[in-house]
Amino acid sequence: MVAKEIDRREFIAEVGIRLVGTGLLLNQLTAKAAFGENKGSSTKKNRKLNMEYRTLGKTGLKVSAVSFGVMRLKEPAVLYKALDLGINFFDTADSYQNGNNERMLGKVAKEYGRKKIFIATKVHPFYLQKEVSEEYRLLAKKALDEKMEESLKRLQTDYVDVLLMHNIMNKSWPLNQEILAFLENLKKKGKARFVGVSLHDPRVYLDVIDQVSKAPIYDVLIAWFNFKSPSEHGEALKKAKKANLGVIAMKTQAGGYTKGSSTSLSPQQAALKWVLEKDFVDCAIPGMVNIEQLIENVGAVGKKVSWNDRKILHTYFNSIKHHYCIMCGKCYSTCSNSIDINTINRALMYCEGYRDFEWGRQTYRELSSRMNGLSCMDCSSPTCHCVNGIKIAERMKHAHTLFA
Amino acid sequence: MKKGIFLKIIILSSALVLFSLNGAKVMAASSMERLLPQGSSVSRWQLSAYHHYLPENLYNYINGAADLFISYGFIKLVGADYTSGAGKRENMVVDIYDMGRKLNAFGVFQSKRDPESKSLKIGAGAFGSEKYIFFYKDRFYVEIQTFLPSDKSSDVAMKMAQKVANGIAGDCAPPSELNYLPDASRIPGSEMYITGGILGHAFLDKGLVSDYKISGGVAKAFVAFFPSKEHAVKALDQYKSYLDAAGETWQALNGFGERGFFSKEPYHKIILVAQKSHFVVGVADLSHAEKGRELLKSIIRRIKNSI
Repeated sequence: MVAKEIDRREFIAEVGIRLVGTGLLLNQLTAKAAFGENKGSSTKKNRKLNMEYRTLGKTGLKVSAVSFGVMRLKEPAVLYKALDLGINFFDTADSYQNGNNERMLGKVAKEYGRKKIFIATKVHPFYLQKEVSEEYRLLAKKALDEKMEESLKRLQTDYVDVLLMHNIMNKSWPLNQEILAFLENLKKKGKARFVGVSLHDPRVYLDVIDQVSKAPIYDVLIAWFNFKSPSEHGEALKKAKKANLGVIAMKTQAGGYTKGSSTSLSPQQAALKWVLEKDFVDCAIPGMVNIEQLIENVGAVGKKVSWNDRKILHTYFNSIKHHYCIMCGKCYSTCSNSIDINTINRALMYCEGYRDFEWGRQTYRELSSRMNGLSCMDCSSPTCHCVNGIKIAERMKHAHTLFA
Repeated sequence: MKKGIFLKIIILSSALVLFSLNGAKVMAASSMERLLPQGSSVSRWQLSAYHHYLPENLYNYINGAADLFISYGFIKLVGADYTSGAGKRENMVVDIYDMGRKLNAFGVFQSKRDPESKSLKIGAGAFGSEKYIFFYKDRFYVEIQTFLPSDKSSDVAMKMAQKVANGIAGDCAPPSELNYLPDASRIPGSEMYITGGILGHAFLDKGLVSDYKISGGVAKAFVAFFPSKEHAVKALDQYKSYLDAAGETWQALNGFGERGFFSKEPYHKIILVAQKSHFVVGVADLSHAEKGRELLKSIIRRIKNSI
């Protein structure tokens, strides 16, 4: 496409001619018309895109295999693009951006057609986390109902398709009588069509899935699951699926490392395919903040994990296992120079994993010269050792070269 | 003998260095704890416990909301639980997030800004109610939540917020980067610091956006930051490639350098985009390209004056 310089008058004329030529007058270009145009064309595109829809357990909802973790998103254009690509299930929470995430989703849902999409939101039973007075407990319990009302208001709807108790951290929470009563009441009043829990704490992972699978009130489970998950997590999710729960996978891409960060491959798609290929997973909700990520993730739909994908994941895993620090802290005592290995690894993760060089550099530069990688540069006999195989000395030098 | 003295000096100075390093570490943690008022300064409120979180465990404290903080460069959180009243009936939680720099603190603050809450004069920006107050000052973002059994009117959150804000060094000015955005026609409170994709584009990773009232409509202006001019030029090329792939025809924009262009864009109506130094600037959501020219010029003028 060749660009040419034009002056102000030609500029106005050209825009006018171009738009009239395509049947779009300038004054018709309101937001709705513009979005309407895209939606119209997307109906045709969806057929070609071949988005896969799966039944979300006992809810019977037909949700897109790749759904949307809205969480960090601030740009509604990405939601419109997702709708155009056939995504119909959107996950948010009252706490994401202090409710602004729900506000944005609510606005888009209203404009697009609330009934055409499925919305999941979450509230956290925060008062169960610590011992509180009876008075406080009653107040907090009442606050759960208020939180739900506020969420509905922000989402501009009178119901959500799925309401989840957020981040279950204790195995007693799912069967807590107050929580059960709260959820039953929401279902009864039609404010939540279905209910469930979200879960990632490995300490309670198996117990919570076991309890939720046995409690008839629960319909859906959102759980941390990716190609690095322990096999018993997969087994637990299989049981949940057998109990007819809708199983939604989150944190599907393990660490956020993307193509170009450590290999020339696209591990995001392979990681997503790996999750979606499990017949006990109904959908995945990767968090996305821009159109490029969205397109990359949707590209995984309907594709089987090929031999090449397995190779990609293997290579990817091998490439991150030497720098993906799990922050166990066991390495500290092995370094004779008392380098702050964890922090340096974390700085590298921000840079390589989250693709935020500035953040990595900032974290690194907070360390004094005695605790950063300076001493590693001429350390001829490193004693440092990582139980998980991270090549510490090499990584410390790399960090120093990168950030110092 | 001389060798012995030399060795002693080495050992002593090493011990001193190690001591000062450890001391510095303790200071780093306690300096944030010192921002949390206690004792007579908060009258009846008693600090019952501190809590500390880092990026790797912030999720344990605030669930998925942690991702927002992490995306803005979160370094650490130091907070405290306060109780008051007979049987510790009243509770208050104060959380201070070290976001590394003012722009990051501003980014979090604006992301969480409740459009229905009233603005308060605390720090560089604040909003809230009797029950909670969120504010930022310098590199810190602060949240104060109260849990009071009675529905009686109370100003405890406000008083605590003022005390915390007063303890934070630095001025109460917003980030200087906001100066790139002209004041005229700007919709107050719509300013955002975006990370991850302005207008939803990965190639416009970071920068400021704000809404403007233009000829009865609302347009979005943006200033994307890049490490160098070369990076900005590359982003502009990526933008053009994106439009090509979307089937849109971009055209050169006279008066905005050799790389300026305008086009229709999916989901953003008409956009005007230009590059100045290590910035890519633009105006989107326009019903007519001509309507964005003055605003774009004004932004570029401000950038010129600042570099």
